[in-house]
Amino acid sequence: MNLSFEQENSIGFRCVLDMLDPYSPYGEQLRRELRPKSPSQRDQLELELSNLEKLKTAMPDNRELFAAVSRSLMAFKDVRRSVSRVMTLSCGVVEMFELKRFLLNLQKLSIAYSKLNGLVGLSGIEIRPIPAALAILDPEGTGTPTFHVSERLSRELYDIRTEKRELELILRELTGEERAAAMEQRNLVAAREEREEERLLMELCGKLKPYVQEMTDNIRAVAVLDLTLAKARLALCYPAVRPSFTSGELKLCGMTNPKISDALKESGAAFTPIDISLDKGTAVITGANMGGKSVAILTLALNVYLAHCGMFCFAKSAKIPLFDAVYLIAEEAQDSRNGLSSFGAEVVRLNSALSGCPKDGLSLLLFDEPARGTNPSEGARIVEGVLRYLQDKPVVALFATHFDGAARYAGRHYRVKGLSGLDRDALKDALSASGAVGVDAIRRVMDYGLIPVGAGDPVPKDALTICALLGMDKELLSEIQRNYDTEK
Amino acid sequence: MRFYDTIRDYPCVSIVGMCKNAGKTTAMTKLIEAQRETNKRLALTSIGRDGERTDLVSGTKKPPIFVYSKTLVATASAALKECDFTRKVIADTGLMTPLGEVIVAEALSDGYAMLAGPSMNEGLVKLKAIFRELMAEQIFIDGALFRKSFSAPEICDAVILCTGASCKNDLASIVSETANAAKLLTLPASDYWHTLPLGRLTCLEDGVPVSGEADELSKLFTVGPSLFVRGAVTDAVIAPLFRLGGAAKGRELCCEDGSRVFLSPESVTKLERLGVKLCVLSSVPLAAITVNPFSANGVHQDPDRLFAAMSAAVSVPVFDVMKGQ
Repeated sequence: MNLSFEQENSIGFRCVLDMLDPYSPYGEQLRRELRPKSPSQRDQLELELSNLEKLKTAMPDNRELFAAVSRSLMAFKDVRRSVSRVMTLSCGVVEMFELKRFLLNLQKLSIAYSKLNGLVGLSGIEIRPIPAALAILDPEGTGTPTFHVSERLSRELYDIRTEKRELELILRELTGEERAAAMEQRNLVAAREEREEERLLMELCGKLKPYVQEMTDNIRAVAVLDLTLAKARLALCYPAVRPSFTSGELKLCGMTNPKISDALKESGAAFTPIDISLDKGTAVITGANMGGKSVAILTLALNVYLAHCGMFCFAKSAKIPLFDAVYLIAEEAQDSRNGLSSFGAEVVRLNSALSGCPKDGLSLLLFDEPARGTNPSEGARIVEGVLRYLQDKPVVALFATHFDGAARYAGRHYRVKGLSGLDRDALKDALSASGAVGVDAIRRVMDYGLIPVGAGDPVPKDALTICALLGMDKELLSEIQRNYDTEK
Repeated sequence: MRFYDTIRDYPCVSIVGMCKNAGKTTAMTKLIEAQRETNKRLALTSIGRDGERTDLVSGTKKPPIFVYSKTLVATASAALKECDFTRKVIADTGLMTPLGEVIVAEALSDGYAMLAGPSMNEGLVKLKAIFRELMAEQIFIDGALFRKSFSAPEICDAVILCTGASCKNDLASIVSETANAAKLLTLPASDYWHTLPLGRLTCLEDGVPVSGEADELSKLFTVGPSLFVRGAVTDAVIAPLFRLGGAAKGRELCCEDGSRVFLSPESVTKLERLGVKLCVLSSVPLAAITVNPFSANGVHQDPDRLFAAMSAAVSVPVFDVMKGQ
């Protein structure tokens, strides 16, 4: 998977990552490191998705069981530094305190988790408490999350502390020079206590060392459990579905994009769910300006990405092949900063995509308005050329383009529904009644859905309608209209 | 009245110094000793860390405060290593300092404590909640220097102000500066404001709060009976009021709390003459003032004269912390 940080941002993947809310620092780190997997990790992905599905299904009716696990997860703090200090035998009392609490939390979590797992039956996530390690840090077996170097650990420490206590009792009664002398003596005892504690702490580290691997495994399991639960919670927030993996078919019904749909919701509009069905080979989406061709491309990229991250797709149904590479060839804000013209940057991106697609794997190529930065007649030829070139390559390629003519070289052709099928006068009446103007007005009447186009279907002239809706000068409008008429 | 009796009934006491070597540590030590006899569980922390302390006589570095068994000590993990009481780690706090996370430990024996607590107001509020969960019955905060320190009501219930010969070289200045600080710390509570308004300036127009900009002080001051000033109140901020003359009389200037008021004694007197009541949102009682006649700079003061002059200048009890040392 080869999208840049900016691209992950623009397709809405970063936004989805931010919506995940694991409870433990371990789950949080796994969230930050979440990256799409490759086709060779298919078994791992299937396992993750099956766990996720079980959790998502069980969650609504078993709130209490889930809440108990969540509470245990929230109690975890990051002890990885302390664990690594066990290896170097350099734990102090604070590190031992952290490790003891970790081991106690692990016990609590394993109880809550085994109840939950008895119901849902996850595979590959095992929380195993380590009572033998806990016994080292809690020789009295109190089960309280506090730590001190216990006198039970050595006779020497016991004797030193007894002496210290006796001296302190005497000190409390003394004043002046007598006190100073006794204090001197007490300070020497305190220093001996310090040394003996240090020796014992090192000894404890040595005893804990054999359990480091088990602790690390548990940390990993806690992270995976935590993040999977977070994924399940998110999958319940938006309509989401488990993707099924195919050998080439890419079919998503009713897909949405939380980043874009939340932004639309804020401005009072709604996201139109998108249906799209692709296969190996090429496809184009044509249609009106402002019609959401780019939205369709970005939403497809997001959902493919999510499936590769072991997450549910935001869709009603999702069939997705596992890709070796995904390329998004679109204009980016940073291009002008890098001193490339938008067309130049596109060509560079296209080159690297074509050379980057593995010959013996499957790649997804998404083109958002390719060659829009150059003159239309050359642009159309370039797009047609790329379409023909990709025809027999191991790719699924989707083009959003203005160039209607390009469609004849593509395997499939979609059109944004846009404003077609709406009578322009009726449209204007509806708009003036609603009181909306300009861009807002268009957003209200625009149908962002995709429809498959058959060969020979007429090309809609939505651009002219948009000119009219945006209040273009009447005289200019009729001048343009005349152009359309002479073409007929 | 004994020194400890001035704070016996306050759950959380902040001890602040007018300057370095004002005798803050000595005052704290005396309070800890007296507090031990109450058998109430004591918790200690500080605001940040008050520098490295070197024993002037021996030249050795050692933590300055001696605590007794069962005391709760909240200090940064690196400072906890410097403590020589037998430590039992009870809780961590999530509060980070340059010396590591603030950890709460219980003393299982007597011993020296190195305090390095949270440096932010919010941190102290959180720490106090943790102390309360751990059944602390009285909290002492080593509050660093007056001004830099927090004597805000959400932090403590009472303040002890430590002053001494190290602050100024002449007796009159020591007394007048301390008296002024005491006055600012004990400003009365406002008659009008009980919750914190949002704007930098807020006046009451027909009983309704109206916010304004910092440069509108003199205009807003005469709109209603009270004007609230958020943040620092300095001589420059209130200068426009002195041009109001009789129009200012009987009105109230309300500040957040005593630690945000940075007025010179002259400005305070001028406000009094104008008939302006200087007050705060809610006030924290100043329980006592301690004086230390010994100066780190060598310019010592006569203990009796310092004590007498200080007692005459303020209405709260004054104690000489070095007496009996």
